[in-house]
Amino acid sequence: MEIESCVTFQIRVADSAPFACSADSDLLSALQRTGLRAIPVGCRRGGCGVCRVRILNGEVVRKKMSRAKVSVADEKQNYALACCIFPRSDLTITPAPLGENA
Amino acid sequence: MAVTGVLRPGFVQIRVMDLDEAIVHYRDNLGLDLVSHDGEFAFLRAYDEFDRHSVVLRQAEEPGLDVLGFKVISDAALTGFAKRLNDMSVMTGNVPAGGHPGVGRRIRFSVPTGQMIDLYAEMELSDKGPMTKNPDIWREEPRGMRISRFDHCAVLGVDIAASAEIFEKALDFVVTERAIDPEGNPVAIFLTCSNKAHDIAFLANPADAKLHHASFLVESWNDVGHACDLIAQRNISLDIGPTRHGITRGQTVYFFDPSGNRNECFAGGYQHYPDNPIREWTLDQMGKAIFYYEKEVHDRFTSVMT
Repeated sequence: MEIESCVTFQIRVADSAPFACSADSDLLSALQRTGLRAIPVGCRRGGCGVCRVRILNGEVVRKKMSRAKVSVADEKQNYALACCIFPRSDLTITPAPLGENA
Repeated sequence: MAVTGVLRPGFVQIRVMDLDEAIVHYRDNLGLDLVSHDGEFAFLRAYDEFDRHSVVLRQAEEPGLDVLGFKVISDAALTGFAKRLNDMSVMTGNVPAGGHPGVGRRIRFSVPTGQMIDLYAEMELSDKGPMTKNPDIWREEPRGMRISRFDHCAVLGVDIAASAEIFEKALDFVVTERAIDPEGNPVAIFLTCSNKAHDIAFLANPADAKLHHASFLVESWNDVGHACDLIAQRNISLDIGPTRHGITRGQTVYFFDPSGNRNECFAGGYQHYPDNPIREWTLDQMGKAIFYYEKEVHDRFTSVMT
């Protein structure tokens, strides 16, 4: 949906205090700007999967991300890479890393 | 002994999630020339390379390494290597000439760490390669990070000793450096087929078939700094740098392409000769080995791979 880029949403990672993320920022970048370390930072480009999360609540717009890290089935269950999602509402997310053998 | 047999890493074929975005990165950020593309594949060449292409990009659903190709000195050598691989019980396949534009026949095999390797003897010369008559240093001013060639890959997997053994025993590579754990097991092995500090590196990892980075040569520490300026100004995703490695002594910067594949621009490194002793690192000195200035390895460098 079309939305002004200056619109800001509140993002909660698990039970932590919420941080702000504007509609034109990916979640991981917004989190990095707060200095919090709730989600690991990897390639920041949707390829490596270390910032994998599950969206428990809320709407996002998704950029292309590696299907090896978020399969079609994963996507239907609201898994995503935090570097590739842009909020369209307040969100609650939780880290959802794949094992190191993935 | 002259450089013979396997000459050098010839091409790297990388999977990208958006081919157009990737072409912009490799062409405009690294400074490769786009030689040709056909919708699924793009072929690029660095300004100081004679052969037609050295980077192949393939559009796919996930990033990573498709194939690492090494050029060998002759078709007879190619046949010889195929036999030596088979004698080591490494199965080889044949990729016919023309499988990619301008490339002769290839011998293809997999290593225990899961990477696919091609050997080939023939590739068309680029008509824009380095001048050969009263040559200038380049035909046109290099662009972007001004990389002069595709140099090597570092790859990850479980049984790196077995992969390295194939490169040593069948392909005549020699080990230049390695890192070992307290039990003496290798955690990193660096090998060369030439005078370089390494032409391939194997890094121990719980999962196979992974790419750590594709590496590109620049001329000097100044050029590493210039690459860092571009990374910052163009919002390319930085991993770490500018810094220097303890292993190989290369001056380096690491960053990610638009699909998360790690790239390196590096300068320097020592020359290696086959009579030189192997340099060895212990696990407790990995900080110094990998980041000589910082003396610590950050999580991203060891956990991010494609």
